[in-house]
Amino acid sequence: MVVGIRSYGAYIPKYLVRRPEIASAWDFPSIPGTKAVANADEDSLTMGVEAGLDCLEGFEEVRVDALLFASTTTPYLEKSSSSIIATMLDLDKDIRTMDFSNSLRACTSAFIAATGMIEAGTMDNILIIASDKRNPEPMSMYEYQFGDAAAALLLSSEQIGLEIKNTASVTEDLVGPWRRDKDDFVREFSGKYDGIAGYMSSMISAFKQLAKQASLDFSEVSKACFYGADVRKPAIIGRKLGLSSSAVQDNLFMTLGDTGNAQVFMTLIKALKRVKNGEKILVGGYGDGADAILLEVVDKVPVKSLKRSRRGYLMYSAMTEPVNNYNKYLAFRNALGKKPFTRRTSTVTIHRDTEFLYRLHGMKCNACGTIQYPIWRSCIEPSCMATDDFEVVPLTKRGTIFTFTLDHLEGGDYYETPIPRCVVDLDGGGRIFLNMTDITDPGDVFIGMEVELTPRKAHEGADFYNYYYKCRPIRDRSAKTRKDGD
Amino acid sequence: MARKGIKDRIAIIGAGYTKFGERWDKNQEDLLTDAVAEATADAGIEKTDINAGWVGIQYWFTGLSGGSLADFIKLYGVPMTRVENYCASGMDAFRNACYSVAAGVNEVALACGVEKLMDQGSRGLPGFRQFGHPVLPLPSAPAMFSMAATRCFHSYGWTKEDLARVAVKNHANGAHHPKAHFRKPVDIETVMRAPMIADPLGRFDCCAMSDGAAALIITTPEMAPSYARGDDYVVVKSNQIAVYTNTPWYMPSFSYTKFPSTQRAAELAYKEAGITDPRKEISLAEVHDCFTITELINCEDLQFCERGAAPYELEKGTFNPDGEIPVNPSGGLKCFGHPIGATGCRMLVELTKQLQGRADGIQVKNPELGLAHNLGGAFTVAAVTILGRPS
Repeated sequence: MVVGIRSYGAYIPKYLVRRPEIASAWDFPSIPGTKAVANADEDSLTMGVEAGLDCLEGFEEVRVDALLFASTTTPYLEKSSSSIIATMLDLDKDIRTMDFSNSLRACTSAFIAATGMIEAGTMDNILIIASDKRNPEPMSMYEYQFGDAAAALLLSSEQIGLEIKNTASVTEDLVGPWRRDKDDFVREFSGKYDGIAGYMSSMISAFKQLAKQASLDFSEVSKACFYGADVRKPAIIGRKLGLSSSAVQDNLFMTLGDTGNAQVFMTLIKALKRVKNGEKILVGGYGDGADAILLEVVDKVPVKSLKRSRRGYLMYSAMTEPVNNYNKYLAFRNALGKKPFTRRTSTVTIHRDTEFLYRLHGMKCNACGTIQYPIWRSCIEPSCMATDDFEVVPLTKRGTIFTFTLDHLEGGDYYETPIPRCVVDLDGGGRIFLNMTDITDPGDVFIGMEVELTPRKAHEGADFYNYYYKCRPIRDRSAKTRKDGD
Repeated sequence: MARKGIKDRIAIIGAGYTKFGERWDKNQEDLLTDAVAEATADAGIEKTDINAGWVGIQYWFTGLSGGSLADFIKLYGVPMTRVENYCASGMDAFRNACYSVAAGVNEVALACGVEKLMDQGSRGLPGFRQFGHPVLPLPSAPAMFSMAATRCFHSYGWTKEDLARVAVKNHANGAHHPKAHFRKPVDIETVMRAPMIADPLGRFDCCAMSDGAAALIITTPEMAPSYARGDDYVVVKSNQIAVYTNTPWYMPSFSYTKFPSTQRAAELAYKEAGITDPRKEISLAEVHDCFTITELINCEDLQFCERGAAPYELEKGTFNPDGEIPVNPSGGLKCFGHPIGATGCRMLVELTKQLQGRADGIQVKNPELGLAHNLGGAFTVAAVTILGRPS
């Protein structure tokens, strides 16, 4: 059975931190570049949903048989994240969901597992989402390094332009970075030793094994996407393997930082910007051993069409902006010791209302035709009020602001104020009320602004992550997110 | 069976209220005891003459159940009910009391309301984190109404200055009221410069958090002359409540430039009272100015002026105490604050005193008919009561 990559998707948070801001906060020597930072209401799960949405754009009819979520920073230590993500992606209920966690190569391990499942003929399409929001200790080197992002790949036996030729793995229990069950921050003992005895040794060993299996001459490889905790390490692997100097791809460390599990997929997605038929591509993940993957471009046409039809790395990275200062970054990390915003909650209610809370389904009244949200027994329109006469319909995640306010009383102990709170008419029908996020200047909000829905943590009532949607200005330059004349 | 309605079937024979404000030294028992004592003294009765009572209380921390009323005024052994219907709680308590008397079940009934907001220490109305669905967003009260302001700005070209004029008018009125929370006029610059609460509503666009209580004693017009004030009583011409959705932000047809609950309650109230030209026939109105934008929309929903014209009518003086139709001559919620359960009853006390010609400091000239209006929740519940002199 031929297995390959059918689609990809990415998510990069809107905000970046300039590394010199971190340096000046602590009087540290400066390191150039930026890193991506998730907003306070984002985590690996919400970013994962975003990457999944991007990946499935245009593939709504594809039956996804399994969802694999790879992250070292799943929001729950006991409770599945892939199940929430699958629900928010409105996937079928009779699918397999799995969390791959606790390792920086959970992403490539999930990739190899999914490849095997499809090869075995038990499944046709598997969505892999890799996402991380790793928490560096303030005033540490990790603070320069860790960035937040998510990436998704749809593996399939059908309609693939990018074939998975071979995979290989080695395991090597060593002391790279770790985080115990009781730690807030990632720790390490000797980064230098891990770089040599762990990273170099495992990666080279895995790729040599891969080359042997595939009878691959490394000089045939035109692109290599290696995970790397910094900007130099992938290049060293490339040299040691004898790759051509142009083959090793930028691991995006300088712009996004070390995005953990998302990094190597994101690197691959960026590398797919230009492809040629017959091209050989390496993908390598590291963490207590290494995973090596060999891909080959068998048909560049579907790969190129992906670039046009999704945001991927290109559009998201073009729609970022730096936070104004380091303190804002600390607020995003919830590092100020403020209590998170809470409300009364009920997991019972949430479960009962999953269809409209997570799947964003609404209803269409058969009597008057009004599409509305959420789902209730009777039509909300006073001119109709028909009871039990409706069908459930999926709603779109885009719309236009009908009216709004900038609320200074909402959530002041968690997020910045004021919060734009928006009545949004969804494209295709349905009206919804949402808080706005990822808005640098709330004064930019206007009636008629085009917004899109984004999954976010709404609050932490009952010590539970209460996920819902917010709206944000559409991250697409063609959308109307500026008032006429501005 | 024909519906008889309430017109001319109820007489208010006693009215009383506390000073409204930050009553740090008083609790809800103090406030309600004082208001009821003033009302019973006005009617010349003892509290034990009351056959039944209804109390408007919005918040659980002010009191739960009819037991709160029984305990606060220490009147045991008679029917007592707590009414909760958002900002219309007090006026709905009055409606329930009216129906019991009109039904002939009670001769003397008490309608009252109380709220003790200041003890909660919150910056706005408390409890929004306890209400409603656990995940779907719920706007604060200022946020709800400011979304109407945003939409009116967009649809009619109204401005923040138009809103500010409402505050200036009401504060000028309240300055003369001995029981108002705020008794100081403000100028338009002060209103415009105030910190934002929910943009475009600033601090002076919002009514304040406040404590207070108000009470009314009612009976039938036939029995009224036998009480202390004799023929000097006030009759109910109409009393209507209309309820729409708690979540208008999910209603695709909702315009945010008018409130269907007020429109409907007004329509029904005018019909019940036989009023065809409200602007001409109503002598004064106490309307729900929880926010400045609300008063402007109320004036249109209550048919005091054309749609979109409220700011221009306000500016030319139509709603001033000496204008064509005085709106909130008491100073309104802007000057009294809004102890939720108390507000509706407080407005009815105002109208009663106006119609009896004893509204000290704020008396409107020769009033015939007075209108009181509440609008609560997310424009959910509107109550309109019209009072007049006995014919």
